[in-house]
Amino acid sequence: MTLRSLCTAGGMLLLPAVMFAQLSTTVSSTAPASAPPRKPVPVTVELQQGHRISEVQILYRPFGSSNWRKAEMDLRGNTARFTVTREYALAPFFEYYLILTDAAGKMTSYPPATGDDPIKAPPAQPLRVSIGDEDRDQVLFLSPEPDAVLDPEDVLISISLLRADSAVVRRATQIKLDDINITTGSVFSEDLIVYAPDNQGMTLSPGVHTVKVGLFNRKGQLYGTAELSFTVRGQGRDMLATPTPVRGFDYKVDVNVESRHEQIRTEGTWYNRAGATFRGKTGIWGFTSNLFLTSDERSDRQPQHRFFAGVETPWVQVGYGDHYPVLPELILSGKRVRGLSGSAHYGIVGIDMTLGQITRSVEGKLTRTFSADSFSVEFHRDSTGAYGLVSPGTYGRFNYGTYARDLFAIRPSVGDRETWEVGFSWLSSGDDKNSIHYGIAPRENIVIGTDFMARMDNSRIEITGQAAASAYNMDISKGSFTDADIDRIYASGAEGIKKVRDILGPYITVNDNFRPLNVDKLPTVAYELGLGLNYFDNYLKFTYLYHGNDYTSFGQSFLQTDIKGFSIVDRARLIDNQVFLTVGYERLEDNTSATKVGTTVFNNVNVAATYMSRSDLPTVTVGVSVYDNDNGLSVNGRDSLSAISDGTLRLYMQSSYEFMAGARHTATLNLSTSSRDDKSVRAYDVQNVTAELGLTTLYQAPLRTSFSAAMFLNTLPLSGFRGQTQTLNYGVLTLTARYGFMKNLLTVAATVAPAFGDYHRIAFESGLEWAARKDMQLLFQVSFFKNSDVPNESVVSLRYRYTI
Amino acid sequence: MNRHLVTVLCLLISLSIAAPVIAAPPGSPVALLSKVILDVLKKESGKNWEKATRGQTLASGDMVRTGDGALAIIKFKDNSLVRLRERSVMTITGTQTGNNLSKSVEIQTGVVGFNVARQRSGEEFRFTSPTSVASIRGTAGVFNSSTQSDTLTVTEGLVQLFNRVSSRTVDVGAGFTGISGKNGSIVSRATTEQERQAALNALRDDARRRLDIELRDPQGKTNRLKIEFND
Repeated sequence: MTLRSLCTAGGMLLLPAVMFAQLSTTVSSTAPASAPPRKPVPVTVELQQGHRISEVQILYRPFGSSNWRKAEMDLRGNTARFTVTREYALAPFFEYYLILTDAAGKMTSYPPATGDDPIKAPPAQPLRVSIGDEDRDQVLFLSPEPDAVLDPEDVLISISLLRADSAVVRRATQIKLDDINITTGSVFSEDLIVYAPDNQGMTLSPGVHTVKVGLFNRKGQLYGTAELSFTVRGQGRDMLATPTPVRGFDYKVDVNVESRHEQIRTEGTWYNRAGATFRGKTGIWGFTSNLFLTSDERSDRQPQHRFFAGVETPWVQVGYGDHYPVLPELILSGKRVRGLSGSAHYGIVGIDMTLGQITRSVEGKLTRTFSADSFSVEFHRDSTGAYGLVSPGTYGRFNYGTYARDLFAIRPSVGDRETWEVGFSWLSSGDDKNSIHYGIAPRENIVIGTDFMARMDNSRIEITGQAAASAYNMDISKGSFTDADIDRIYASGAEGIKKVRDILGPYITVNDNFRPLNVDKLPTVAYELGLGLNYFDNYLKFTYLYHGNDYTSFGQSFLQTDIKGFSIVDRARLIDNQVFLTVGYERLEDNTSATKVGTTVFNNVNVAATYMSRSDLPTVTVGVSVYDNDNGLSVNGRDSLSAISDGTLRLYMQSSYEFMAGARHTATLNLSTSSRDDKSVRAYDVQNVTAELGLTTLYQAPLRTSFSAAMFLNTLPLSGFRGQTQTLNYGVLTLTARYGFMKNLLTVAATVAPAFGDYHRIAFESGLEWAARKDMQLLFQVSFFKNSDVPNESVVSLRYRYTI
Repeated sequence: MNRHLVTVLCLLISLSIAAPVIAAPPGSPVALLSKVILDVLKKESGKNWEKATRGQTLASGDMVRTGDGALAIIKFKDNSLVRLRERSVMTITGTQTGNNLSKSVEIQTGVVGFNVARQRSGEEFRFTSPTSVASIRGTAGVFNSSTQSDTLTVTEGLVQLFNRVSSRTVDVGAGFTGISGKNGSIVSRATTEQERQAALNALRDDARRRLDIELRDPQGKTNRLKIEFND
C-alpha cells in the first residue's frame, strides 16, 4: 500500500463519516455512501462501546424488493464488516439497516426503528448505498493508469472517447494537465486523443499530477468531466510512492495496534486491540493469514479474537480459522465458521467445502444457590431455569448456556463459471450435547440443494436458480426413536416412520421433534428463480421465490421464511443516458402452508428516476415507494386482532452538485418522507420527514472542509396508548475541517456537531495523523460528547499502523 | 393495488429505446502504441514498414513487428491491453458499432500477453492465428503462435480456444494452458511452472536493456563493461 492510500485510509479513520443523520450512541459511522454497479460492496460500520455488542446483523435489500436479507457482520473490536454480494449492487441503490445485539440479547436497530422488534418493524428511513450506472464512464484513460508511478520520460497521456455519447463533440474536448490547458498540443485522431509532454518540451516535476478532461456538446456546453492522477518519480517524499521492488518471495504485512478508552455514561472501559495481516506469494504458492486479538475476549461470550491462515495455488485453496463461506444463498451465507475451508477447481470441475464451528459452547451461569430442602419450592417458582447440585446439600439455579454447534458444507460443481455452472450442495450441522452441562434443546439440521446459472448472447440473457430442502430436529437430547418408541407413539404408519428413521438416521436424529412433519405443502423447501434480460437499453429482471414456513438452514439462519411470490424490475436508460428510470413491482404472500388465519399479501411498487446531467447541472434522483400489506381480515370484525391492513408511502429526493468557486465544492441535498397508515386495531401510524443539506470543499491548499445541516421530524406511536402519538423532532449541524502540514505528513482534523430540539448533544472530535515513515503511521483521536440529560461521554484512541 | 399494476405495466411497455448503430469509417484508429522499447516497426495497409513511436495510433489492418529484446504495448480504445513481446508480428483489426468495439488480433508469429477488460454486451476480443481462434472476455494471459502449434496460457478468467483445422473447441481457464496444433489437435491441461513463469514475464511491461560502457584506465587501456537491466 502506498503512503498516499495509507494517508487516505488514515484520514477516513480520523474523520469518520459521522452519521448524525441518525443519532446513535453505538454506531459512530457507516460506509460507503455509494458504490459501483455489479461489484461486491464492502459495508463497514464503526461502533462505540464495542464490548457491549455481541453481534451485528445487517439487513439489506435491492431496489424494488421489500424482502430483507440478513447476515451476520464480521465484528472485530469496534469495526463490523460485511460484503454485500454483487447481485444486490444494482442501480439506483440498495437499502440496509443494522441490528445490534448486546450480551443480554437485547436488540436495537440503526437507524432506530419505532417498534420493539426491529425485524418485524424496520426503520422508516433505512440507510442507502447509491449504485452508479455501469455506462457512466464516457472518458477512458488509456494511459497512464490511475495512480501510476512513472519516470518523467514515460508519461504519455492518451484518452479514448469510445464510450462518449453521440452528443459529445470530440474535437471540442479540452484537456488540462495540472490546470494548464494542453488541448492545443494534443493530437486528435477521432476517438483518440494523445499528448506526449516531452514532445511539447514539457518536463514534469516529481510528484502528483492531475489530468482533467472536459467534454462539450454542440452548443458548447460542458457535457461531462473526468479526472485522473498519477505520480512522477522524484526525490524526497515523492519517493515514498515508489512501488515495492520485486522480491523472490513477495509479501505484505500490515500491523495495527490500538489502545482506546471510552467513557460512556458512568462506565469507563479500556480496550487494547492488535491485528495483523500477512499475504505472501512465491511461484504458484500464495499464503494469507490474519490475526486479531482484543481485550474483549471472554469465555462467557462468543469468540472475539479472530484468526485465519491459508495457502493457495491457482487450483486449490485451503485454510483454517475464521472465515465466511458463501455457498448458494439459501444454504450457507453470512455465517462465521471457525475451522477448515477449502476449494479446488480444475477445468470445469470444482468443489468447495467448509468444516468447523459456528457457535462456541458457553456454559450456563450459576445465578442462585439454595439448600436441597428448598429445591421443590424454587423449581415451582421458576421452572424455566436449569438446576443442578453445586455441593453436597446445595443446589443452584443456572441460566441456560449455549451448545457448541458444528457445521459441514460441501458443494461440488461443474461449469466454466462464466457462462454456465451447476452445483449441488450438502450441509449438516448440529449441537454438541456434551459441550455444556446446563443447556436446553440441542438441535440438528441437514440441507440438500442445487443451483444453476446460464448466460447467453454475450450475457444479455442470464438465468439463475437455486433450490434447497431441509430437515431439522428441534431437540435431540432424547436421541433417535427406538422401534419401541415408534410402536408406542404411532398407532398407524409405524413401519413407514421406521423406514424414514433408518434412511435419515445416519445424518440426523429422528424423533418426535423432527421436521418436516409432512411434505404436502413443501414446508421445508425453498427455491428461487431469476431471469435477466439486457436489450434495447433496458435491464429487466424477473425473480420468483418460495421459502417454506419450516425451511431451516443453520448456515443461513437469516432467511425470511413463509413467503412466496415474484418481483419484476426494469431499468431503462433514456435521453442519451442522461435519465435512468427504474420501475419495480413485487407481489409476495405468506401462509405458504395454510397455517395462519389469513394470508397476508404484500404489494409493493417502486419507481425512481435519476437525472445525470452532461452539462453543468446537479445530479438528481427522485423516487416513490408504495408498500401495501393486507391479509383480508376485517379490521372491525371478530378477527380484528389478527387483521393486517397497512400501507406505507415513501417519497425521496437526492441531489448532488459539483462546482468550482475559488475551490472545488460538492453540495448534497437529501429529502425524504415516510408515512405509514395502519388501519388495524393497533393503529401503529408513523410519520417521518428528513432533510439534509451538505457542502464539502476541497481547497488548493491541503485543506478540506465540510458542513452539513440535518433536520428530523418524527411522529411515533405512544407506547402503551393505542392510537396516540408523540413527536421527536431535532436538528444537527456538523462542521468538519482537515488540514495537512509538511506535505501531508502531519494532518490535523476537527469536528463540532451540535444537536438541538428534542435531543440535545454537542459532539467534538479532533484527530492527529502522523506519517512517521512511509511504512509507519500514528493516529490519535479524541471525541467528547456534551450531553444534556446524561453524563458527558468521551472516547480517546491511539492507533499505530505498520506496513511492510 | 390493481391500479398500481396497470401503471407499472404501462411504464414497462413504454420503455424501449433502440441503441444507435454507428459503423466506424475505414481507417479509423482503433488502438495506440502506449509504450515502445527498442526496435518496433509498424506497417499500414499498402505501405512499407516504418519505425513505430510511442503515442502513434493504429487503424484496423495495421501490423506491428518487434525485434530482438523489443516490446510494444498496444492499448485498444476500450482499454484492452496487448503486450507484443520480442520477435513477434501481429495485425490488429477493430469494428466499431456505436460505443462498442469488437477487436481481433491476428498473430503471425511470436508471443502476445493480454489483459482484456470485461467485454460489454455486443463486444468481443479475439486472437487468431492460421491454426486457432481464442475468444477472450475479460481475462489475462499469453498467446504464443509458432509454426507447429499455438499455446494459450490463461492467468485470469476464461478463454474459449477454437482449432480451425478440426473445428474443435476447448475452454481454457485460469491456471490452464490450451495447445492447438496444426494437425487439428486441441487440448487443455494444467499450466506448468515454466509456462506460468513465461506468462508472467510476458505480462510485464519491461524488456531487457543493454548498456555498453567503454572504460579507459590511466594508461589508456580500454575495457568494455556490458550491463543488462530491466526497465
